[in-house]
Amino acid sequence: MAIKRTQREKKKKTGKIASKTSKKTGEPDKSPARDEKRNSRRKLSELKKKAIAASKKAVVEEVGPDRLAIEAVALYEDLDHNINLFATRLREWYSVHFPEAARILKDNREFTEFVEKCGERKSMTSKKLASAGLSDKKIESIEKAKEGSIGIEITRDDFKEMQRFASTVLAIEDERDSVLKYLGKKMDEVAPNVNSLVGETVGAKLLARAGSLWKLAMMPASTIQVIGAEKALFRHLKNKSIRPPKHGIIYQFPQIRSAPANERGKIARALAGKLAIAAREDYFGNKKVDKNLKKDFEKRLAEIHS
Amino acid sequence: MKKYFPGVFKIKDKIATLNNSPEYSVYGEKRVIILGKEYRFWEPYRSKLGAAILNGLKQLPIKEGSYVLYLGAAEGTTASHVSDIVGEDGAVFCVDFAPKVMTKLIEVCTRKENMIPIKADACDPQSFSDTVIDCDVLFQDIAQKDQAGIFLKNARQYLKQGDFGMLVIKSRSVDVVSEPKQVFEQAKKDLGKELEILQVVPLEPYEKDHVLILCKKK
Repeated sequence: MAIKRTQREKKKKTGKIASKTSKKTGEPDKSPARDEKRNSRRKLSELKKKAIAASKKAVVEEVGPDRLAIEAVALYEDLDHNINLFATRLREWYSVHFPEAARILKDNREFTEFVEKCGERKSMTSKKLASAGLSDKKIESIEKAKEGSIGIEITRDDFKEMQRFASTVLAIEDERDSVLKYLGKKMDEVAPNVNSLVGETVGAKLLARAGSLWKLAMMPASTIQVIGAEKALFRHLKNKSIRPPKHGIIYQFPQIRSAPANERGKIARALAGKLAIAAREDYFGNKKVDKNLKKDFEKRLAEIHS
Repeated sequence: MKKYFPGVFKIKDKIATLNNSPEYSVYGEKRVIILGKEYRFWEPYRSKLGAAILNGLKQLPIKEGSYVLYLGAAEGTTASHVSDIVGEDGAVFCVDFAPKVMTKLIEVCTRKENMIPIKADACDPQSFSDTVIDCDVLFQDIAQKDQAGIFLKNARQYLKQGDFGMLVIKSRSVDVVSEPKQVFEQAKKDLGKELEILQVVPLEPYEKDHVLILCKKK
Protein backbone atom coordinates (compact mmCIF):
# COMPACT_ATOMS: atom_id res chain seq x y z
CA MET A 1 0.00 0.00 0.00
CA ALA A 2 2.72 2.39 0.99
CA ILE A 3 4.51 1.86 -2.30
CA LYS A 4 1.35 2.46 -4.24
CA ARG A 5 0.73 5.71 -2.43
CA THR A 6 4.19 7.05 -3.17
CA GLN A 7 3.74 6.11 -6.79
CA ARG A 8 0.50 8.01 -6.88
CA GLU A 9 2.15 11.01 -5.29
CA LYS A 10 4.91 10.85 -7.86
CA LYS A 11 2.33 10.73 -10.61
CA LYS A 12 0.69 13.82 -9.20
CA LYS A 13 3.99 15.62 -9.07
CA THR A 14 4.99 14.74 -12.59
CA GLY A 15 1.53 15.69 -13.73
CA LYS A 16 2.01 19.12 -12.21
CA ILE A 17 5.37 19.54 -13.91
CA ALA A 18 3.92 18.46 -17.21
CA SER A 19 1.13 21.00 -16.98
CA LYS A 20 3.68 23.69 -16.16
CA THR A 21 5.81 22.90 -19.18
CA SER A 22 2.83 22.80 -21.45
CA LYS A 23 2.01 26.30 -20.28
CA LYS A 24 5.57 27.36 -20.93
CA THR A 25 5.65 25.95 -24.44
CA GLY A 26 2.25 27.39 -25.08
CA GLU A 27 3.50 30.92 -24.51
CA PRO A 28 5.89 31.46 -27.41
CA ASP A 29 3.11 30.55 -29.82
CA LYS A 30 2.07 34.18 -29.92
CA SER A 31 5.58 35.61 -30.21
CA PRO A 32 6.63 37.07 -33.57
CA ALA A 33 9.72 34.85 -33.72
CA ARG A 34 7.49 31.78 -33.88
CA ASP A 35 5.39 33.31 -36.67
CA GLU A 36 8.50 33.99 -38.65
CA LYS A 37 9.52 30.38 -38.39
CA ARG A 38 6.02 29.27 -39.33
CA ASN A 39 6.33 31.26 -42.51
CA SER A 40 9.67 29.72 -43.24
CA ARG A 41 7.97 26.33 -42.84
CA ARG A 42 6.50 26.65 -46.29
CA LYS A 43 9.86 27.69 -47.64
CA LEU A 44 11.36 24.71 -45.90
CA SER A 45 9.11 22.14 -47.54
CA GLU A 46 10.04 23.48 -50.96
CA LEU A 47 13.66 23.40 -49.94
CA LYS A 48 13.27 19.83 -48.84
CA LYS A 49 11.92 18.73 -52.18
CA LYS A 50 14.91 20.26 -53.91
CA ALA A 51 17.34 18.81 -51.39
CA ILE A 52 15.97 15.29 -51.80
CA ALA A 53 16.18 15.53 -55.58
CA ALA A 54 19.72 16.88 -55.41
CA SER A 55 20.97 14.22 -53.02
CA LYS A 56 19.33 11.45 -55.04
CA LYS A 57 21.09 12.72 -58.12
CA ALA A 58 24.40 12.94 -56.30
CA VAL A 59 24.07 9.34 -55.09
CA VAL A 60 23.31 8.08 -58.60
CA GLU A 61 26.26 9.95 -60.06
CA GLU A 62 28.67 8.46 -57.59
CA VAL A 63 27.91 4.83 -58.46
CA GLY A 64 29.76 3.69 -61.57
CA PRO A 65 30.18 0.41 -63.44
CA ASP A 66 32.99 -0.48 -61.01
CA ARG A 67 30.27 -1.30 -58.48
CA LEU A 68 29.17 -4.19 -60.74
CA ALA A 69 32.67 -5.64 -60.67
CA ILE A 70 32.76 -5.26 -56.89
CA GLU A 71 29.44 -7.06 -56.46
CA ALA A 72 30.53 -9.79 -58.88
CA VAL A 73 33.74 -10.51 -57.00
CA ALA A 74 31.84 -10.62 -53.71
CA LEU A 75 29.48 -13.17 -55.23
CA TYR A 76 32.42 -15.14 -56.59
CA GLU A 77 34.02 -15.28 -53.16
CA ASP A 78 30.76 -16.36 -51.52
CA LEU A 79 30.21 -19.10 -54.08
CA ASP A 80 33.77 -20.33 -53.75
CA HIS A 81 33.50 -20.45 -49.98
CA ASN A 82 30.23 -22.36 -50.10
CA ILE A 83 31.46 -24.84 -52.69
CA ASN A 84 34.30 -25.78 -50.38
CA LEU A 85 31.89 -26.10 -47.50
CA PHE A 86 29.45 -28.28 -49.44
CA ALA A 87 32.11 -30.45 -51.02
CA THR A 88 33.54 -31.18 -47.59
CA ARG A 89 30.07 -32.04 -46.33
CA LEU A 90 29.53 -34.38 -49.27
CA ARG A 91 32.86 -36.06 -48.55
CA GLU A 92 31.85 -36.71 -44.95
CA TRP A 93 28.46 -37.98 -45.97
CA TYR A 94 29.71 -40.27 -48.73
CA SER A 95 32.48 -41.63 -46.51
CA VAL A 96 29.83 -43.55 -44.60
CA HIS A 97 29.39 -45.68 -47.70
CA PHE A 98 32.84 -45.73 -49.29
CA PRO A 99 35.55 -43.90 -47.29
CA GLU A 100 38.41 -45.18 -49.44
CA ALA A 101 37.19 -43.37 -52.56
CA ALA A 102 36.94 -40.10 -50.64
CA ARG A 103 40.58 -40.53 -49.74
CA ILE A 104 41.73 -41.45 -53.26
CA LEU A 105 39.97 -38.55 -54.99
CA LYS A 106 41.52 -35.50 -53.35
CA ASP A 107 40.20 -32.91 -55.80
CA ASN A 108 36.73 -31.64 -54.84
CA ARG A 109 35.43 -31.27 -58.39
CA GLU A 110 36.65 -34.73 -59.36
CA PHE A 111 35.14 -36.26 -56.26
CA THR A 112 31.77 -34.55 -56.68
CA GLU A 113 31.54 -35.67 -60.29
CA PHE A 114 32.44 -39.20 -59.25
CA VAL A 115 29.63 -39.29 -56.67
CA GLU A 116 27.11 -37.90 -59.13
CA LYS A 117 27.96 -40.30 -61.99
CA CYS A 118 28.92 -43.58 -60.33
CA GLY A 119 28.91 -43.35 -56.57
CA GLU A 120 27.10 -46.58 -55.67
CA ARG A 121 29.53 -49.36 -54.91
CA LYS A 122 27.24 -52.11 -56.15
CA SER A 123 26.80 -50.78 -59.67
CA MET A 124 30.28 -49.34 -60.05
CA THR A 125 31.97 -50.53 -63.24
CA SER A 126 35.26 -49.44 -64.79
CA LYS A 127 33.30 -48.15 -67.76
CA LYS A 128 31.23 -45.92 -65.53
CA LEU A 129 34.33 -44.75 -63.72
CA ALA A 130 35.98 -43.82 -67.00
CA SER A 131 32.89 -41.82 -67.98
CA ALA A 132 33.35 -39.71 -64.83
CA GLY A 133 36.67 -38.59 -66.33
CA LEU A 134 39.01 -40.39 -63.93
CA SER A 135 42.52 -41.45 -64.86
CA ASP A 136 43.34 -45.13 -65.30
CA LYS A 137 45.47 -45.18 -62.18
CA LYS A 138 42.66 -43.83 -60.03
CA ILE A 139 40.14 -46.22 -61.58
CA GLU A 140 42.40 -49.09 -60.73
CA SER A 141 42.85 -48.08 -57.10
CA ILE A 142 39.13 -47.46 -56.64
CA GLU A 143 38.33 -50.88 -58.11
CA LYS A 144 40.78 -52.43 -55.70
CA ALA A 145 39.44 -50.53 -52.69
CA LYS A 146 35.88 -51.49 -53.58
CA GLU A 147 36.43 -55.12 -52.66
CA GLY A 148 37.49 -54.64 -49.07
CA SER A 149 35.71 -51.38 -48.27
CA ILE A 150 34.88 -50.74 -44.62
CA GLY A 151 31.90 -48.54 -45.51
CA ILE A 152 28.37 -49.68 -44.76
CA GLU A 153 25.78 -50.68 -47.34
CA ILE A 154 23.22 -48.03 -48.18
CA THR A 155 19.83 -48.16 -49.86
CA ARG A 156 18.93 -46.76 -53.24
CA ASP A 157 17.07 -43.87 -51.51
CA ASP A 158 20.08 -42.92 -49.42
CA PHE A 159 22.25 -42.78 -52.47
CA LYS A 160 19.74 -40.79 -54.52
CA GLU A 161 19.81 -38.06 -51.91
CA MET A 162 23.62 -37.89 -52.06
CA GLN A 163 23.56 -37.85 -55.82
CA ARG A 164 21.12 -34.96 -55.91
CA PHE A 165 23.25 -32.94 -53.52
CA ALA A 166 26.34 -33.67 -55.62
CA SER A 167 24.64 -32.36 -58.74
CA THR A 168 23.62 -29.21 -56.84
CA VAL A 169 27.25 -28.64 -55.86
CA LEU A 170 28.29 -29.12 -59.48
CA ALA A 171 25.66 -26.59 -60.57
CA ILE A 172 27.02 -24.07 -58.08
CA GLU A 173 30.49 -24.71 -59.46
CA ASP A 174 29.25 -23.93 -62.96
CA GLU A 175 27.67 -20.78 -61.59
CA ARG A 176 30.98 -19.76 -60.07
CA ASP A 177 32.80 -20.32 -63.33
CA SER A 178 30.34 -18.19 -65.25
CA VAL A 179 30.54 -15.43 -62.62
CA LEU A 180 34.30 -15.52 -63.00
CA LYS A 181 33.98 -15.14 -66.75
CA TYR A 182 31.60 -12.23 -66.31
CA LEU A 183 33.96 -10.67 -63.79
CA GLY A 184 36.83 -10.91 -66.24
CA LYS A 185 34.78 -9.15 -68.90
CA LYS A 186 33.65 -6.45 -66.48
CA MET A 187 37.16 -5.84 -65.18
CA ASP A 188 38.42 -5.53 -68.72
CA GLU A 189 35.88 -2.78 -69.31
CA VAL A 190 36.28 -0.98 -65.99
CA ALA A 191 39.96 -1.34 -65.19
CA PRO A 192 41.86 -2.99 -68.09
CA ASN A 193 45.30 -2.09 -66.78
CA VAL A 194 44.73 -3.44 -63.29
CA ASN A 195 43.15 -6.50 -64.87
CA SER A 196 46.10 -7.22 -67.15
CA LEU A 197 48.56 -6.75 -64.32
CA VAL A 198 47.06 -8.92 -61.56
CA GLY A 199 44.05 -10.66 -63.09
CA GLU A 200 40.36 -10.23 -62.46
CA THR A 201 39.92 -11.66 -58.98
CA VAL A 202 42.81 -9.89 -57.25
CA GLY A 203 42.05 -6.69 -59.16
CA ALA A 204 38.38 -6.72 -58.25
CA LYS A 205 39.15 -7.53 -54.62
CA LEU A 206 41.40 -4.48 -54.50
CA LEU A 207 38.58 -2.40 -55.96
CA ALA A 208 36.16 -3.79 -53.41
CA ARG A 209 38.45 -3.00 -50.48
CA ALA A 210 39.16 0.50 -51.78
CA GLY A 211 35.45 1.14 -52.42
CA SER A 212 35.63 2.36 -56.00
CA LEU A 213 38.04 2.81 -58.87
CA TRP A 214 38.34 6.48 -58.04
CA LYS A 215 39.37 5.70 -54.48
CA LEU A 216 41.88 3.12 -55.68
CA ALA A 217 43.31 5.61 -58.14
CA MET A 218 43.76 8.11 -55.31
CA MET A 219 45.70 5.67 -53.15
CA PRO A 220 49.46 5.77 -52.84
CA ALA A 221 51.29 2.59 -53.84
CA SER A 222 52.26 1.91 -50.24
CA THR A 223 48.60 1.75 -49.25
CA ILE A 224 47.72 -0.54 -52.15
CA GLN A 225 50.52 -2.84 -51.03
CA VAL A 226 48.89 -3.46 -47.64
CA ILE A 227 45.15 -3.25 -48.46
CA GLY A 228 43.58 -6.16 -46.66
CA ALA A 229 46.32 -6.36 -44.02
CA GLU A 230 44.88 -3.59 -41.85
CA LYS A 231 45.08 -5.60 -38.67
CA ALA A 232 48.79 -6.24 -39.06
CA LEU A 233 49.40 -2.66 -40.18
CA PHE A 234 47.73 -1.09 -37.15
CA ARG A 235 49.43 -3.55 -34.84
CA HIS A 236 52.70 -2.25 -36.26
CA LEU A 237 51.66 1.41 -35.98
CA LYS A 238 50.75 0.97 -32.33
CA ASN A 239 53.92 -0.86 -31.47
CA LYS A 240 56.88 -0.09 -33.68
CA SER A 241 58.85 -3.13 -32.57
CA ILE A 242 56.38 -5.33 -34.50
CA ARG A 243 57.29 -5.30 -38.17
CA PRO A 244 54.86 -3.98 -40.77
CA PRO A 245 53.03 -6.30 -43.17
CA LYS A 246 54.64 -6.88 -46.55
CA HIS A 247 51.45 -7.52 -48.48
CA GLY A 248 47.68 -7.54 -48.13
CA ILE A 249 45.35 -8.75 -50.82
CA ILE A 250 48.14 -8.74 -53.42
CA TYR A 251 49.56 -11.75 -51.61
CA GLN A 252 47.02 -13.74 -53.63
CA PHE A 253 48.93 -12.80 -56.77
CA PRO A 254 50.62 -16.11 -57.74
CA GLN A 255 54.09 -14.69 -58.25
CA ILE A 256 54.14 -13.27 -54.73
CA ARG A 257 52.62 -16.29 -53.06
CA SER A 258 55.06 -18.68 -54.69
CA ALA A 259 58.14 -16.52 -54.12
CA PRO A 260 60.56 -17.24 -51.27
CA ALA A 261 59.79 -15.25 -48.11
CA ASN A 262 62.74 -12.90 -48.43
CA GLU A 263 61.68 -11.80 -51.91
CA ARG A 264 57.97 -11.38 -51.30
CA GLY A 265 58.26 -7.91 -49.82
CA LYS A 266 60.27 -6.66 -52.77
CA ILE A 267 57.90 -8.11 -55.34
CA ALA A 268 54.90 -6.76 -53.43
CA ARG A 269 56.44 -3.29 -53.40
CA ALA A 270 57.18 -3.39 -57.12
CA LEU A 271 53.74 -4.71 -57.97
CA ALA A 272 51.96 -2.16 -55.79
CA GLY A 273 53.85 0.63 -57.52
CA LYS A 274 52.74 -0.57 -60.92
CA LEU A 275 49.19 -1.12 -59.66
CA ALA A 276 48.96 2.48 -58.50
CA ILE A 277 49.95 3.68 -61.96
CA ALA A 278 47.56 1.19 -63.57
CA ALA A 279 44.60 2.34 -61.46
CA ARG A 280 45.27 5.95 -62.36
CA GLU A 281 45.54 5.14 -66.04
CA ASP A 282 42.27 3.27 -65.82
CA TYR A 283 40.46 6.10 -64.12
CA PHE A 284 41.88 9.07 -65.98
CA GLY A 285 43.13 7.47 -69.18
CA ASN A 286 41.33 6.12 -72.22
CA LYS A 287 40.85 2.55 -70.93
CA LYS A 288 43.56 1.01 -73.05
CA VAL A 289 46.08 -1.51 -71.83
CA ASP A 290 49.51 -0.02 -71.35
CA LYS A 291 51.88 -2.84 -72.24
CA ASN A 292 54.89 -1.15 -70.68
CA LEU A 293 53.48 -1.62 -67.19
CA LYS A 294 53.57 -5.38 -67.36
CA LYS A 295 56.90 -5.41 -69.15
CA ASP A 296 58.51 -3.15 -66.54
CA PHE A 297 57.12 -5.26 -63.74
CA GLU A 298 58.44 -8.46 -65.29
CA LYS A 299 61.84 -6.86 -65.74
CA ARG A 300 61.90 -5.92 -62.07
CA LEU A 301 60.73 -9.42 -61.16
CA ALA A 302 63.69 -10.89 -63.03
CA GLU A 303 66.03 -8.49 -61.24
CA ILE A 304 64.70 -9.56 -57.85
CA HIS A 305 64.99 -13.24 -58.72
CA SER A 306 68.60 -12.97 -59.95
CA MET B 1 5.65 10.93 -17.61
CA LYS B 2 9.23 11.36 -16.50
CA LYS B 3 11.57 13.28 -18.71
CA TYR B 4 15.30 13.61 -19.09
CA PHE B 5 14.84 16.81 -21.06
CA PRO B 6 11.84 18.39 -22.74
CA GLY B 7 10.99 15.98 -25.54
CA VAL B 8 13.17 13.17 -24.18
CA PHE B 9 11.11 10.78 -22.08
CA LYS B 10 12.00 8.16 -19.53
CA ILE B 11 10.01 4.99 -19.98
CA LYS B 12 11.00 2.00 -17.83
CA ASP B 13 14.51 3.42 -17.35
CA LYS B 14 14.98 3.71 -21.07
CA ILE B 15 15.02 6.85 -23.15
CA ALA B 16 12.38 7.47 -25.76
CA THR B 17 11.08 10.22 -27.99
CA LEU B 18 7.60 11.02 -29.23
CA ASN B 19 7.36 9.51 -32.70
CA ASN B 20 6.44 12.16 -35.24
CA SER B 21 5.93 9.52 -37.93
CA PRO B 22 3.66 6.96 -36.22
CA GLU B 23 4.05 3.30 -37.10
CA TYR B 24 7.44 3.93 -38.65
CA SER B 25 10.52 2.45 -37.06
CA VAL B 26 13.77 3.83 -38.44
CA TYR B 27 16.39 1.31 -37.37
CA GLY B 28 14.31 -1.50 -35.91
CA GLU B 29 13.84 0.18 -32.54
CA LYS B 30 10.86 -0.80 -30.39
CA ARG B 31 7.82 1.42 -30.17
CA VAL B 32 5.26 1.77 -27.43
CA ILE B 33 1.89 3.49 -27.27
CA ILE B 34 1.09 5.36 -24.05
CA LEU B 35 -2.14 7.30 -23.73
CA GLY B 36 -2.69 7.28 -27.47
CA LYS B 37 0.75 8.64 -28.30
CA GLU B 38 3.49 6.58 -29.88
CA TYR B 39 6.99 6.70 -28.47
CA ARG B 40 10.18 5.30 -29.99
CA PHE B 41 12.86 3.87 -27.73
CA TRP B 42 16.27 5.39 -28.19
CA GLU B 43 18.99 2.75 -28.39
CA PRO B 44 22.14 4.10 -26.66
CA TYR B 45 24.37 1.45 -28.18
CA ARG B 46 23.52 2.74 -31.63
CA SER B 47 23.25 6.45 -30.98
CA LYS B 48 25.95 8.54 -29.36
CA LEU B 49 23.61 11.33 -28.32
CA GLY B 50 21.42 8.73 -26.63
CA ALA B 51 24.47 7.38 -24.82
CA ALA B 52 25.45 10.89 -23.70
CA ILE B 53 21.98 11.51 -22.25
CA LEU B 54 22.22 8.32 -20.20
CA ASN B 55 25.74 9.22 -19.12
CA GLY B 56 24.65 12.48 -17.51
CA LEU B 57 24.49 15.20 -20.14
CA LYS B 58 23.59 18.34 -18.14
CA GLN B 59 21.91 20.34 -20.82
CA LEU B 60 20.28 19.50 -24.14
CA PRO B 61 20.25 22.51 -26.44
CA ILE B 62 18.09 20.69 -28.98
CA LYS B 63 14.55 21.77 -28.14
CA GLU B 64 11.14 21.98 -29.70
CA GLY B 65 11.36 24.24 -32.71
CA SER B 66 15.17 24.18 -33.00
CA TYR B 67 16.87 24.18 -36.36
CA VAL B 68 19.62 21.61 -36.12
CA LEU B 69 22.52 21.14 -38.51
CA TYR B 70 23.51 17.49 -38.18
CA LEU B 71 26.87 16.61 -39.71
CA GLY B 72 27.46 12.90 -40.23
CA ALA B 73 23.84 11.77 -40.12
CA ALA B 74 24.69 8.34 -41.61
CA GLU B 75 21.50 6.28 -41.81
CA GLY B 76 19.55 8.76 -39.72
CA THR B 77 19.52 6.76 -36.48
CA THR B 78 20.25 9.64 -34.11
CA ALA B 79 18.95 12.24 -36.53
CA SER B 80 15.50 10.66 -36.43
CA HIS B 81 15.33 11.11 -32.65
CA VAL B 82 16.52 14.70 -33.02
CA SER B 83 13.72 15.09 -35.55
CA ASP B 84 11.23 13.80 -32.95
CA ILE B 85 12.48 16.30 -30.37
CA VAL B 86 12.40 19.41 -32.54
CA GLY B 87 8.89 18.59 -33.72
CA GLU B 88 7.04 20.05 -36.66
CA ASP B 89 8.27 23.61 -36.08
CA GLY B 90 11.90 22.60 -36.14
CA ALA B 91 14.13 21.19 -38.83
CA VAL B 92 17.07 18.82 -39.04
CA PHE B 93 19.55 19.31 -41.86
CA CYS B 94 21.25 15.95 -42.29
CA VAL B 95 24.62 16.07 -43.98
CA ASP B 96 26.46 12.96 -45.06
CA PHE B 97 28.95 12.03 -47.69
CA ALA B 98 28.77 8.27 -48.31
CA PRO B 99 26.38 7.18 -51.07
CA LYS B 100 25.59 3.87 -49.37
CA VAL B 101 24.11 5.38 -46.22
CA MET B 102 22.59 8.23 -48.18
CA THR B 103 20.04 5.95 -49.87
CA LYS B 104 18.72 4.91 -46.46
CA LEU B 105 18.87 8.48 -45.17
CA ILE B 106 16.77 9.76 -48.06
CA GLU B 107 14.18 7.10 -47.30
CA VAL B 108 14.05 8.18 -43.65
CA CYS B 109 13.80 11.82 -44.70
CA THR B 110 10.77 11.14 -46.86
CA ARG B 111 9.02 9.64 -43.82
CA LYS B 112 10.12 12.27 -41.32
CA GLU B 113 8.58 15.57 -42.28
CA ASN B 114 11.24 17.86 -40.79
CA MET B 115 14.40 16.08 -41.92
CA ILE B 116 16.25 17.39 -44.93
CA PRO B 117 19.00 15.32 -46.59
CA ILE B 118 22.13 16.95 -47.97
CA LYS B 119 24.80 14.94 -49.72
CA ALA B 120 27.90 16.98 -49.11
CA ASP B 121 31.28 16.91 -47.43
CA ALA B 122 31.19 18.35 -43.92
CA CYS B 123 34.73 19.71 -44.47
CA ASP B 124 33.29 22.25 -46.87
CA PRO B 125 30.53 24.19 -45.06
CA GLN B 126 30.12 26.56 -48.00
CA SER B 127 28.86 23.77 -50.22
CA PHE B 128 25.57 23.37 -48.33
CA SER B 129 25.00 26.96 -47.21
CA ASP B 130 22.20 27.41 -49.75
CA THR B 131 20.10 24.68 -48.16
CA VAL B 132 20.78 25.36 -44.48
CA ILE B 133 18.68 28.50 -44.11
CA ASP B 134 18.99 28.75 -40.36
CA CYS B 135 20.82 26.92 -37.60
CA ASP B 136 20.37 27.02 -33.84
CA VAL B 137 22.33 23.95 -32.86
CA LEU B 138 25.25 22.27 -34.55
CA PHE B 139 25.70 18.54 -34.00
CA GLN B 140 28.63 16.64 -35.43
CA ASP B 141 29.42 12.95 -35.44
CA ILE B 142 31.84 12.16 -38.22
CA ALA B 143 34.69 9.72 -38.52
CA GLN B 144 37.33 11.91 -40.07
CA LYS B 145 40.74 12.91 -38.98
CA ASP B 146 40.35 16.63 -38.28
CA GLN B 147 37.12 16.44 -36.27
CA ALA B 148 37.71 19.54 -34.15
CA GLY B 149 38.86 21.58 -37.16
CA ILE B 150 35.79 20.67 -39.21
CA PHE B 151 33.54 21.53 -36.27
CA LEU B 152 35.16 24.95 -35.88
CA LYS B 153 34.81 25.66 -39.59
CA ASN B 154 31.09 24.88 -39.44
CA ALA B 155 30.64 26.77 -36.16
CA ARG B 156 32.15 29.88 -37.75
CA GLN B 157 29.81 29.59 -40.70
CA TYR B 158 26.53 28.69 -39.04
CA LEU B 159 26.50 29.47 -35.30
CA LYS B 160 25.61 32.82 -33.84
CA GLN B 161 26.95 34.05 -30.52
CA GLY B 162 25.47 32.06 -27.65
CA ASP B 163 24.39 29.16 -29.84
CA PHE B 164 25.21 25.64 -28.76
CA GLY B 165 27.20 22.98 -30.48
CA MET B 166 27.77 19.32 -29.75
CA LEU B 167 30.38 17.12 -31.24
CA VAL B 168 31.43 13.55 -30.80
CA ILE B 169 35.16 12.97 -30.80
CA LYS B 170 36.13 9.53 -31.95
CA SER B 171 39.72 9.16 -30.92
CA ARG B 172 40.35 6.19 -33.21
CA SER B 173 39.66 8.32 -36.27
CA VAL B 174 41.89 11.17 -35.16
CA ASP B 175 44.90 9.05 -34.38
CA VAL B 176 44.95 5.29 -33.90
CA VAL B 177 48.33 5.33 -32.27
CA SER B 178 48.17 7.87 -29.45
CA GLU B 179 46.23 7.57 -26.21
CA PRO B 180 42.56 8.59 -26.38
CA LYS B 181 43.05 10.94 -23.41
CA GLN B 182 45.66 12.94 -25.29
CA VAL B 183 43.41 13.15 -28.33
CA PHE B 184 40.54 14.49 -26.23
CA GLU B 185 42.79 17.05 -24.51
CA GLN B 186 44.07 18.26 -27.86
CA ALA B 187 40.52 18.57 -29.19
CA LYS B 188 39.46 20.56 -26.12
CA LYS B 189 42.42 22.86 -26.58
CA ASP B 190 41.60 23.46 -30.24
CA LEU B 191 37.93 24.10 -29.55
CA GLY B 192 38.59 26.27 -26.50
CA LYS B 193 39.99 29.08 -28.62
CA GLU B 194 36.62 29.94 -30.11
CA LEU B 195 34.09 28.03 -28.07
CA GLU B 196 33.26 27.77 -24.41
CA ILE B 197 33.33 24.13 -23.38
CA LEU B 198 30.46 23.36 -21.01
CA GLN B 199 30.73 19.61 -20.55
CA VAL B 200 32.66 16.61 -21.73
CA VAL B 201 30.66 13.39 -21.51
CA PRO B 202 32.49 10.07 -21.87
CA LEU B 203 30.39 7.52 -23.75
CA GLU B 204 31.57 4.37 -22.00
CA PRO B 205 30.28 1.66 -21.95
CA TYR B 206 28.16 2.33 -25.03
CA GLU B 207 31.04 3.42 -27.25
CA LYS B 208 34.73 2.85 -26.71
CA ASP B 209 37.17 5.79 -26.87
CA HIS B 210 34.47 8.36 -27.61
CA VAL B 211 33.44 11.56 -25.85
CA LEU B 212 30.68 14.05 -26.53
CA ILE B 213 31.61 17.68 -26.06
CA LEU B 214 28.93 20.27 -25.36
CA CYS B 215 29.99 23.83 -26.12
CA LYS B 216 28.70 27.32 -26.67
CA LYS B 217 29.90 29.95 -29.09
CA LYS B 218 31.72 32.80 -27.34
